[in-house]
Amino acid sequence: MSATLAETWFLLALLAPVAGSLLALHPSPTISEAAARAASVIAWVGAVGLLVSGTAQQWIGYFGVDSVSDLFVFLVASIYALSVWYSRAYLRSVHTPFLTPQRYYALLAAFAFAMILTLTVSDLGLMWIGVEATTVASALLIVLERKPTSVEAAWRYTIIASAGLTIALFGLLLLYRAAGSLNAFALAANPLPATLTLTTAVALALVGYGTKVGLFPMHTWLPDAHSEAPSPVSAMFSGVLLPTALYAFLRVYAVIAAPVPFPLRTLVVVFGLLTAVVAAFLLQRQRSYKRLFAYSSMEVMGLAIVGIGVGGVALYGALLLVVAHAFAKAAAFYTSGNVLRRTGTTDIDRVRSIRERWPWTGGTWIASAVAVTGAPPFGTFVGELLILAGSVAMGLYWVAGIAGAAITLAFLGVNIQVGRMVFGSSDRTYLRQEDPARELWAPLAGLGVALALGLIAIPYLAPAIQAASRFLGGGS
Amino acid sequence: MDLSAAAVVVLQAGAVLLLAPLFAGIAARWKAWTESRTGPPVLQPYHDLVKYLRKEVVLPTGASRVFIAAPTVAFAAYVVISVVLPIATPYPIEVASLVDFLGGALLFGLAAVVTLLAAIDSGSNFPALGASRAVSFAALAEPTLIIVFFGVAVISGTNNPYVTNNVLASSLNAYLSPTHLLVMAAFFLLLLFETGKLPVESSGLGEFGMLDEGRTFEHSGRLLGLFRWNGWLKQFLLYAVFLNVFALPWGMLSQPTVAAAGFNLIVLAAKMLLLVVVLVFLEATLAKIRLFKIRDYLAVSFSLAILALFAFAVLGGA
Amino acid sequence: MDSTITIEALLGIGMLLTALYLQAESFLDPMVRAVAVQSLLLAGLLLWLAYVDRDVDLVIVAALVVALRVAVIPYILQRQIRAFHWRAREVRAAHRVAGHALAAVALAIVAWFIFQETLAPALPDLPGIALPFVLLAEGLLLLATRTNTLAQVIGYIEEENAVVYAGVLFVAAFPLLIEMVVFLDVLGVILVAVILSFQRTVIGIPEEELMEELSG
Repeated sequence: MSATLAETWFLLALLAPVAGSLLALHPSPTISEAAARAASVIAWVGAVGLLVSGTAQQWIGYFGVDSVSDLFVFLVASIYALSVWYSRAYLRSVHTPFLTPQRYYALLAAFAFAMILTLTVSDLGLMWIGVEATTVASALLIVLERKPTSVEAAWRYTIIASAGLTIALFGLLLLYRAAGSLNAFALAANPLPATLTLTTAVALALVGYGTKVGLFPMHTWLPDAHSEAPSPVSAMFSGVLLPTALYAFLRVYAVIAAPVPFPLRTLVVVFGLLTAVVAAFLLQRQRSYKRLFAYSSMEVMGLAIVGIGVGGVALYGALLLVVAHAFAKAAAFYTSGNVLRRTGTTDIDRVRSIRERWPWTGGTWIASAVAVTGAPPFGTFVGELLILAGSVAMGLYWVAGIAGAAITLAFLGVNIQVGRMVFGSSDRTYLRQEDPARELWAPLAGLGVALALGLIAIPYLAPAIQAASRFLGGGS
Repeated sequence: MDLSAAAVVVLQAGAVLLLAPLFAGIAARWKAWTESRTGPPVLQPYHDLVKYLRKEVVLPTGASRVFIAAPTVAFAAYVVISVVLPIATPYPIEVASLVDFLGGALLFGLAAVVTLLAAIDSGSNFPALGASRAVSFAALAEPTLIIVFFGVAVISGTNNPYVTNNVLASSLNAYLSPTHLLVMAAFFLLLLFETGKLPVESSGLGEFGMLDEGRTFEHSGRLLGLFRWNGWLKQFLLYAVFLNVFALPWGMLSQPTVAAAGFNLIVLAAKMLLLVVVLVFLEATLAKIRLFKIRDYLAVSFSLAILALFAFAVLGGA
Repeated sequence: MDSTITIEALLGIGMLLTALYLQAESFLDPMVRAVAVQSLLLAGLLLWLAYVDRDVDLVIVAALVVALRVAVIPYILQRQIRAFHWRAREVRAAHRVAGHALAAVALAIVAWFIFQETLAPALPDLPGIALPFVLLAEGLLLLATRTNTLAQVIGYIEEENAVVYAGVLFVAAFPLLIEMVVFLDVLGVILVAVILSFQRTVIGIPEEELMEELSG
């Protein structure tokens, strides 16, 4: 009986976006929007059902979920629903004949479907196809506005991401050769000892999927795509697309049995650290606030990869960081969308006195900026702290040191810039302007979840820090 | 050395020396046909040669012995080469043990170097210009040649042209192996360059793009005659290597008799006529590439040669 | 050495040769033809292996490769080239034939060494087993060194060819090969279609202006 229920949740989450994508093509914009909204809610209900019931099983064919995929499906469905419901404001402000609500909602649903598909297949090959499919759907979303810059950005994104993913496919070929199977669950249940082939396969997958996660030096598409995509789509990019690619890598990484060979582990950690540090430096000199947030996402993904490489508590921290960051970053991009619509520029130097004009928007903006960079008591803070504590607990002081430096640098960089825009004054004086609630609920919802995650997770912090301090005590 | 073997050596050397101008004449005649001209008679090179040998020699002021000795030294080098290559016999000819493939290349190099020295020794600008051009491109062609020899060596396991000939003639798989085909292609490109054919160079009166002939501008009389002969010999020998070692290693009789050697020479002549047709066709259809593009041309040849070795390594000896 | 290996080796080295040609070529029209030839060689290899292994799946893969990578994508690309004459030439690489050819050869050798050090011990000792890896490296080099978007699509197709090649050579029958081919090619068509329908808007915009917004 429970199996049937689990299947129902699963099918809801997977197929609602498909139905939504088709129905959204209805000629009437009203019906299109209604269909998209309904589909997103149904998918979300299905995802919540999966998460709450803790479904972990495989279905005939190539589908299967476990608690990790449940969590990520929930993440995707949540951000997808928020973005869909929030898109009305964006669509109202854009007047490009090519960008119709029908096309926009259909592609958004297809994008969500591709991600949920990636997260619910049990076959690594199909998972790869799912990740490629996200590239297609999201590239078309970027290109919808048909500005020269967005076409160029979509182009760079598609070509770099597909080139990188080809490398991941090469890794999968080797993996199949070494393991004789591509079933992620069967492989994770019986991890294989690390042979040279397997290690190489995972390293290739790291480079390949890492391109999509935004790892340095394959990250170049990331800021372009984020800054050119519509804000609700940027939220999905940062919040769930990058984690989806991360998930795909995690599945490949899980194939190797417990003592991950030192070179591979070092490779993963170094890639992560490098990404975090480079992003932290690059975001200092950004002129566009959307690019600023894009680099911040890159920094967070770098830390998450570090957490995966370190393992243990740090892995837990990485997952928490990714989930909390998704909601917080979505809030940041929704607010950025509001600001962009009202000021007409993404240039940091030309945006000032947000607080004087729209106190609530200014508030959500600075709050989400603080949240994405890991300030307490948000979930991101707990996640980052767990990664640091986990590294220390493993005796990897240098990792903790470099990651801590990157976190600090990124925190300062993002918040100083956003602070200048929110609190900084220009020579003009502004009157307080209308700040409608229909444009505020989404950022507030995202911030709320990020905050709640932090409050829920804080109790978990104590044991981890105890473990780390035990290690420190034992070491000295 | 028994008499028959000695006769074969003499026959081969004589054939190379005497037939070399003939094929130059045939090529010139056929090329003229493609340009709707009647062209010079086939035997014109012989008439030229006789004429040059009879004429008086004029030396530039300040020319040293190098200037005078160079044509003879180069000629001697070519004569040695002509008795060591598989031209009339598929088995090592009596004196073949003098040099191997690499040694042959060194002899070709010797001839080129003395020609250059003579050009510089003339003290005149035009030959010096020709020499400097020739050197600047030869610097790129030489590595290719060496790698081609490596390619030959990996095919047959030796750098003996006779063994290569036998391996290729007896095994279709060896003939069709990528290593061999690529070496052949690289060598063919090199052949066009070394013998001054289009698209690398077009010689003629007042042609500033010429490489080879510019070097001998100051020579006259029998010195020039020898240089001309050298040119034809070099061309003939390279053709013979290309045909008998690389491209068409078949159809040679292996009996150690003079008759068999004579037959082999006739077969070679037929192959060479075929090659001349191909070259005339190429000359008629290709345009000369710009001087600075020759670098690219040689780079392609070099790439092919490297790729031949690469293919050998990648295919694990295939 | 038996004839099976000779045919495989010839086709494989042929694909590598087209890859080197692609690196050295400056003009797009011959590049499109070269990549079609490369796909054709791949299809030939697939058919040959299908014959040797009596594997019908490989025939389907070969048919897909011919239909999409020899016919459809090159056709669309060539229409594109004709639509924009100014783009028929890849200006940047035009004077660097020697450099590009040598760089391609050097990369092939480096890729081979990497392959020998990392993957070779784990893979069957077949002749030419390194070639897919080398081809992949060449495709990436093409993508990285060309700024012209159509040339990048060609580099992408080359990578796809490398993947299919690896799929049949590394693992005798990769279970998802057909799906992969279809998917990769659909993506290729979409790539081309995206340029086809959108890049017209980019014409006439100075590159600096684009870079201005997409920098940092």
